[in-house]
Amino acid sequence: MDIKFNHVSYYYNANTPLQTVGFKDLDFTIKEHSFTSIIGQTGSGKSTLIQHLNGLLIPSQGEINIAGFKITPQTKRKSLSKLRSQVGIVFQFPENQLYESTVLKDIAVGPLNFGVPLAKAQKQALATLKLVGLDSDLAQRSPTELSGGQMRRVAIAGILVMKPKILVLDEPTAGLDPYAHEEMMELFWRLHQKWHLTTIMVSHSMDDVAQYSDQVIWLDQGRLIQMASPREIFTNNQQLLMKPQSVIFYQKLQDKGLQLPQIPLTIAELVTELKKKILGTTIE
Amino acid sequence: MSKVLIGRYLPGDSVIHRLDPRGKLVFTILFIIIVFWANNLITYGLLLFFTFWLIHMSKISLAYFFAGMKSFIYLALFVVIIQIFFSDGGITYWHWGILRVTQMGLINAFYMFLRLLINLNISTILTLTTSPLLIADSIESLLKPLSYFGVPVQIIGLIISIALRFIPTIADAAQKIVNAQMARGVDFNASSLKKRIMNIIPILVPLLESNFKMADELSEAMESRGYIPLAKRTHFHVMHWHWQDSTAFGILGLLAVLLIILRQS
Ligand SMILES: Nc1ncnc2c1ncn2[C@@H]1O[C@H](COP(=O)(O)OP(=O)(O)OP(=O)(O)O)[C@@H](O)[C@H]1O
Ligand SMILES: [Mg+2]
Repeated sequence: MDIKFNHVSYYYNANTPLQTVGFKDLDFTIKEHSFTSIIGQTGSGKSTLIQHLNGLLIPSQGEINIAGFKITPQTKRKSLSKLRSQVGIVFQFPENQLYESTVLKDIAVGPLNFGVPLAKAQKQALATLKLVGLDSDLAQRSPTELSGGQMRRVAIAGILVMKPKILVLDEPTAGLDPYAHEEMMELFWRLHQKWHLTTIMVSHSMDDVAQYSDQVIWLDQGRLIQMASPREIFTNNQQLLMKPQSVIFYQKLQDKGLQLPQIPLTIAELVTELKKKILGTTIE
Repeated sequence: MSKVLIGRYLPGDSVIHRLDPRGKLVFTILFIIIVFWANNLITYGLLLFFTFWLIHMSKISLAYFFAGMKSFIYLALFVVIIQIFFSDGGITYWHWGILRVTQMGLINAFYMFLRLLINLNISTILTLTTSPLLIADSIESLLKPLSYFGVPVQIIGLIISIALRFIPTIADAAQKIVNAQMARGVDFNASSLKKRIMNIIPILVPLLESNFKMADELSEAMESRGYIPLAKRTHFHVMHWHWQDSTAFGILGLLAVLLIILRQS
């Protein structure tokens, strides 16, 4: 089922002198099973938007349709606890939310809260631990004994274990080393395909955005600037300061007079296109 | 939660906002003391009216002010109702075991409620119109005489300003943790009390951990920038005393005189 935002606005501290805009008049549809990235500068409303996807925030105006739920300003937050088992949100720096005494117990928190019996919850937790690439030896360790990267995997497992239909990621790779970054993105991509997820990712890494997304939502100061495929977004957008490495490189080639049929979204694509171009034309 | 006003600062540009923070702090303390002189309807009424006038002068809407005070007014009512049942004197209207409702009990409870309300109002006006850092600076400057007796006033001031500075940061961190736990199905509106109490753990454990980390990082950052605890230093905000500040104390004096005249002897 698609996710629909129908002229949705959100104000922090609504109706008080401290009222500020979270975002304004967002109107878009996210297709089921698509991979959507949200980009925009700091303070553009990305995190605010994400918190509307499982009813942590209720819109001030407009209507949201998600996973069979209709959320309007009149909706009570209490009535949305079921929604939270279907929309899994991995918040920024999720390793800061671990609190149980062992890794396994911490991963099992979600299923237990949603009424799965203990034995089954632990079995699911163990399977998810392996899924995120951690050794099952870690299951009985305390989360505080793990490295930062391992802790993040545990926290992500704590969301994945609920088998969400919609997976929301707020800067999932922030602060990881390049190798862990790569691995993490591959994990999400694999799950996206295998579980037929609808994935929504906030990211400042334009390389990831270009490589994985079907569509990009571009926010600025709480407003929707453009919603389009990554190729459209990264073609000729002078306002957009950050671009993928491949596009930056291609722009330099363009300045020297080289033209490709379309902008390359990844380094791999750039290499293939260049090969085609160079081997296809006569070499002088 | 976001509506609660106590301890919040609302930047603005009113006479009250511009008063010298040291003066405001002393004013508030003296005011709370003279509230004890009130002992009849006229005197309590006068003081309550005076706090309303201050709210008006600080350009804060009364409706917004009281929306933010609501939960504290309920709390005050609760205290007062308990007071009714356990105090004695005058005509007894009702009794059951040690519980009773008497004439004096009702009257005293009513005055106690007014006193609480007046004190809540005045202290909220202080925090609403004065930035927390300036309040900390004022406390430090008022404690200054103690430094002659070897009290490390500067360090006390630093502790207060760090504590105040970190209230919003910690509130933010707590909100983030609450969100993350709610996303994992922790139900903070659970109906059973035991469950509600147990739900504090998923918030408290990560919050304490992050607070210790923040404290550590802050002290390291201060040290690496060469912070020396007892060094002589100047303040970023320099406070000035104006004629408005003297006027405020004139008004306070007038209020005190009125109270003495109008109170029941
Ligand atoms: N709890 C809050 N209270 C008041 N205003 C807030 C709050 N949280 C965010 N805002 C404001 O809402 C706007 C959008 O913030 P948001 O956190 O959604 O930005 P973001 O795009 O996620 O930024 P970043 O990339 O830094 O995470 C900002 O102007 C911010 O100041
Ligand atoms: Mg954010």
